[in-house]
This record gives sequence, C-alpha cells and structure tokens, in this order.
Amino acid sequence: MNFKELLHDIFVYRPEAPLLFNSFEFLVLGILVLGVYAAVYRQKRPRTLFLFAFSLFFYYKTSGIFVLLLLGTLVAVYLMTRRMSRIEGRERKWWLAGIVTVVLGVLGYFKYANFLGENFFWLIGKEFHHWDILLPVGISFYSFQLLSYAIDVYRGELEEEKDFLDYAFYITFFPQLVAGPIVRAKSFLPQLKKEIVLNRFEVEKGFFLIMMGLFKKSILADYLSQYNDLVFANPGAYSGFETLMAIYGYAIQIYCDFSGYTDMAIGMGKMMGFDLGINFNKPYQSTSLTDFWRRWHISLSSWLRDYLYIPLGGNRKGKFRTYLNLFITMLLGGLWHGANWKFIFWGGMHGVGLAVDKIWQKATKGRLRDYRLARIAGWFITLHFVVFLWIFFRADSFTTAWEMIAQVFSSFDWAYLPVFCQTRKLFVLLMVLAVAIHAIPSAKFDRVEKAYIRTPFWVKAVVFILLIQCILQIKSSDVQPFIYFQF
Amino acid sequence: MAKNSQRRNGIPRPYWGYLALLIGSLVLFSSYALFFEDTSVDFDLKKMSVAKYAVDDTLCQDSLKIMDSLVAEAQQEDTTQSPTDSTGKVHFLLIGDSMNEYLRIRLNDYCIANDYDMYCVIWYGATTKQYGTSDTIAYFINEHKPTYVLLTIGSNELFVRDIIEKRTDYVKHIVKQLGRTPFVWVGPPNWKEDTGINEMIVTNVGKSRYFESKKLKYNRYKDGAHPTRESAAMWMDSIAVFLQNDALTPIEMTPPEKSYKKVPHTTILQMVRE
Repeated sequence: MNFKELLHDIFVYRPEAPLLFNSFEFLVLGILVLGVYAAVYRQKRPRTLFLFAFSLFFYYKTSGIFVLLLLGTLVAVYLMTRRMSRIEGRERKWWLAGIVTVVLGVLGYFKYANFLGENFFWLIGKEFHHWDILLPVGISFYSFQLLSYAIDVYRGELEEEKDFLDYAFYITFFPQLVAGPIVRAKSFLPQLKKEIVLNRFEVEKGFFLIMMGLFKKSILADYLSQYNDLVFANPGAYSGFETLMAIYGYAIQIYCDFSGYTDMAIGMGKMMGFDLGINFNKPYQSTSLTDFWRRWHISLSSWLRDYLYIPLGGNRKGKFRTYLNLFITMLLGGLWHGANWKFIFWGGMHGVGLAVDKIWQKATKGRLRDYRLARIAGWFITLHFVVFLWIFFRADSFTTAWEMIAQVFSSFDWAYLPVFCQTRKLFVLLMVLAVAIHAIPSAKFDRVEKAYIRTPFWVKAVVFILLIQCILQIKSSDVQPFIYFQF
Repeated sequence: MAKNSQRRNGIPRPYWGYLALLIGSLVLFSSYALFFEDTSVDFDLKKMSVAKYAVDDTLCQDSLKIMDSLVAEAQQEDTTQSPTDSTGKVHFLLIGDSMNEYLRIRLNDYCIANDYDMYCVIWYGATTKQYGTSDTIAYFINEHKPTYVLLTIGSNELFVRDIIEKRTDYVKHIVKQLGRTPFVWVGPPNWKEDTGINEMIVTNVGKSRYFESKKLKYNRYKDGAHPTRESAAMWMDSIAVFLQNDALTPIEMTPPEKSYKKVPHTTILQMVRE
C-alpha cells in the first residue's frame, strides 16, 4: 500500500485532479469535516473558523496558489466596503466604483485578458501570442458574490459585516465556492448570527439531495458526456441522426451536470444547517424563454436582474430600452460564461429571444397561456431554441457548431434509430431516465423525498452503497470535472 | 419530531447515521478495492480508485527490468501470411477498446491514401480478459478476412494488480486467435505508470509486433485518458511509421495529404461494465 502517495493525493494540490464532490478524496475529507463539525457546530467561533479553514483548503485543492488571490481580493473588498459604509454622498459612490474596479479588474485580467488581446491584435492586423494566464477555478462565482455584497451595502439594503470571519466564511463556504449557487449576503449572513439547529428533516433532505446530485452528475451527465464528446469533437464523422442525439444528449448532460453539482452543494449546506436557496426548477418544462430563465441557474439570472438589468433601467424606460436592456444583460451573461465569441453569441441570442418573447406576450396579452395546445407549442419552441443554442455553447468553435447543424439537416435518416438504440442501449436508457426524472411534477417529487425520509435507515444505506457502485461501474476512467468549473 | 430524534448534544440521529454510513462505505469500498480479486470473467464489480494506491510504482520499474530480458526470448520468427491480398492491397482489421474511436478516423485516411481498406471493431471498456475469453477476434477475422490486424487492447487494465499472473493466458489466447494473420498490438497510451500490462504484452508478442504507445506524449480529453482527436491522429501517424519501418511484417504506409474525416465501417460492441 502506497500511503505516501495516498496522503499526497488527498492533501496536496494536483492541477490534473481538482477536489470534486464525487471523488474518493472528497469522501475521505467529507467524513473528517462532518466528524469535526459535529463537535464544534454549537459554538459559533470554532464552527466558523473550522469551516473557513476547510473552505480555504478546499479551494487550495482545486486551484493551488490562487487561494492567495481569493484571500487578497476578499480582504480588499472587506476593507473598502467598511470604509464605504462610513461615508455618504459622492465619495461613497467613488468607493463603490473602486470596489467594482478591483473585483472586475482581477476577473478581467484572469478571464478576459487573452480574449481582449487576441481581438485587439486581430484588429490591428498583428499576430497574437497568448499570455500564460491560468484561470482560477470559480473566480466568476466568488467575484459576483463579492460584488453583490458591496452593492447591497452601498444601497443600504445590507449592513456591512463587521466580523471579518463571518464575511470571509460567507464568500468562501466550500459547497458553493467554485460553481455556485451565487448566494446573496442578505440571505446567508443572517444565518450565521443565529444558533445553528440541525434538525432531522433538514439532515435527511440534505443527504437525499447529495444522492440526487451524485446520480445526476456521476451517472447521467458523465455517461452521456462520453458519447457527446465524441460527436462534438468530430461532427462530420457521424450521421445526422447520431449528431442530433448528441445535441439532445448535451442538453440533458449540462442540466444534470450543473444541477447535480448544486444539488450536492445545497444538500451539504442543509446537512450543516445552512440554506443556500435553490438554483434549478425543472427548466426544460418552461413554456417560454422568460419562464426558462426563471428556472435555469436561478441565482445567476436573479443576480443579473438585480445588479445589471434593473440598474440599466429595466422596463421603466420604454419598450425599446426594455428590449435593449434585456439584450445587453444577456450578452454580458454570455460573456460571464467564458471569454469567447461563441458565449457572447449564445448570450446575445438569448437576449434576442427574451425580447421577442416579451413582444409576443404583449401582443397576445398572455391569453394564449389558457390554451393547452398553445402551452405545448410554447414548450416545444422554447426547448428547441434552448437546445439549438447549446450547440454553440458546447462546440469548440462556430465552425464545429455549424458543421453539427449542417450534418443534422443534410444527412438525417430515421433508419439509424433502431441501430442507434441497439448499439447505444445505455445511452438511450439514461436519456429516457433523465427525461422521466425531469418530467416528474414538483409535488410528486416532494412526495418521493418524504417517502425517502420515512424509509428505514438500512434501506437508505443499501441505496447509497448501490449508488456508489453504479457510479464506479459507469465511469469511464478518471472522474469528469464539472462543466461549470471553467466559468 | 425533531426533538425526539435529537441525540448527543442536539445532533439528530440521522447525522450520526450518515456519518457512520460514509465511514462504512469508505471501509467497504476500499477493502474491496485493495483486498479482493476479480469475481468472474463475465462481470466484475468495478473498484474505487483507491486500488491504484495498492501498487508501488518502484516495484513496477523493477519488474520492467526483469521483463526486458524475457522479451528477447519472445517469438520473433515471421511465420505469418502475406500482409496483402493477391492484388497487393492491405485489408486492415482494427479491433480493440474505445481508443479506436479516433485511431480509426486517421487509419482510414491512410487506407484512402494507400488504396487499402479497413474494418473497425470497438468494444467499449474491453480488456484482455474479454477478448481473451471469447472468440470475438477469430469471429471478425473469419468474417472480414483481413490481411493485417491492429489490436488496441490494454487501456482499461493499467492498474490491475498481479496482471502478469492473472492475464497472460488471455493474451496467449488472443494471439492464438490471430493465427497466421500479421498483426501489431498497439499498447495503451498510459496516463500513469501501469502495473505490467505493457511488459506482459511485449513478452508474448515480441518487440517487432508491439507498438509501445506509452512512450508518446498526448493531449487528452477531460476524462484524462483518451487522447484528443488531433493527438490520436499523431498517435496513428507514429504507428504508421512503425508499421512501415519496424514491424515484423512491414507494409507501406504513405502518409495521407489531408484528413478525410470519414468513419470506416465499424461494429460497436456493448460496453463492458467492469
């Protein structure tokens, strides 16, 4: 037994193996955390200190030395916000501008410098050599939390946090640190002031969510990704039918991957007595694009609404400005996902879609919602608009995306259906399973959750062990990173 | 209800239960990975990644030195049939695991450029155990009558303990199925030191029928194992050079001028859940 290597892998940063919730290393560390947490959770100071320290270690394991960048940024924002909160008038605005500059400056340097450089050099007609800048994991998520905290204090909607440890813990709390949900200080900081009560229902619900998340991420998303990756990497090599299956497959994969991660994050929070809110609400059941953005990555869309769309004027400055504001908000939302024109296109098209949806709702005065057929049509159009845009989100370039689309329309043949079902049995089965889970109405899902809680513990233990074994059976080799880690 | 189930300083019973469950699962899965042998030929319960810690890399290096001397003794005599048909054309059978997904695209480019043809078989997740305990290879040889076989088996068993003791017979059975058909076994593109798969194969097939893929560097997909499309193409280019210059049965492999991105005829076999 190579214990030295085992300990090294658990405790030392390895760029090729970031610490993931669905890894062996996290299982070992999770046991340690829950064990220590049980001993300290009733005393506020030790509890916060312990979770803060572990969260920093967790970030070190995913991003190495960038933990210092995280610490530096959060200390700077803390000090500047404290200063800002003590002054009024114009100077207060300048301090906020300073905070926004610091946070967006750091984010811009690490995430967008190469993109801006590349485009600038292209404009002046010179060759650009990429700068050697690594993207710290989760920087987009914690940057948005830092901004929302400072802006809320500036607006007077939140009192500045005097306790540095509470503030730092809010920013770094490990379940939501690297891939969300983007938790608001207004809802999280008050939880730290109260006594933490671990009740049976929340602990059970938390573990149920962790299992759901593991199932979605490690079984559904990871297995589907094996086929999707092959097709997206070489679209010309597959028939139209196979390409279409990979496109639908990716729509399911990204939902299961991201919502699976947030299920695990929210579940861990609940097991420790914290509420991180919800981030997904069956988005593919949406009957309009507006509805979709109320159900998909809720913490990001509400952030964009509160800190971008409304300050831009929202819907208060006439029709044209409303549509323009929607477009700008979504365009920047796209840019938030990555420094690439394809993400900007993806966001911009969602902005156009939202504007068209608003115009349509106004023209029909929302009356069509009363008709079942219209709701079905709305669902079908929304789903396919979203799925169509996922092609650009996933493909490595516009060329690949158009190649995929061309392949679907130029070489589509239903004759591939039986062959596909025969050769990709498990892929088809998991797709059907994912759709079925997503189609379960929320009320029924709650009943499943309650039934789980009532189940004897030994049954839960068997289910958990079977789940872990299924994950081991299905995974291709190493654990797949979460898609949203890159954002 | 909450109060009734609170135990030990206010912590509800399920919290301790789940903590015990996590510890129990860790012990259970680690023990299985570290101390239990494979259960059956047809179906194995996969093991937690902790199994890789059961192997000491330095021991692998030692075994490598011992195996080197054995390689020299491997059968090197060419008693195989011609690598071409009566018209001088090579018919490839590329058979193995998921690594063939991209290798086949580039090999097909070579076939187009050299006026050869090929047939591909992908058995996802397959190892020497599946191929060595079935007649799959013999079946496809009989079905497609290839004049040259390329085997890509081994990527799914890099970390099997005591592999030489356990799986040498399977490799022998695979070689037996090939009969007199010329072949090259393309070794796994290691992403970590293996437990002996490379040595086991080269010992049984000889250096001139073995392409040692692990000596190359690869860009890989996010699974950390499969080379990217571009990297797999370069991998195939290196194999082609080996086939032309170093293989026991050399064949001409003129590099294609472009990538045709065509998928050759392929049979996909059910994924092995090992």
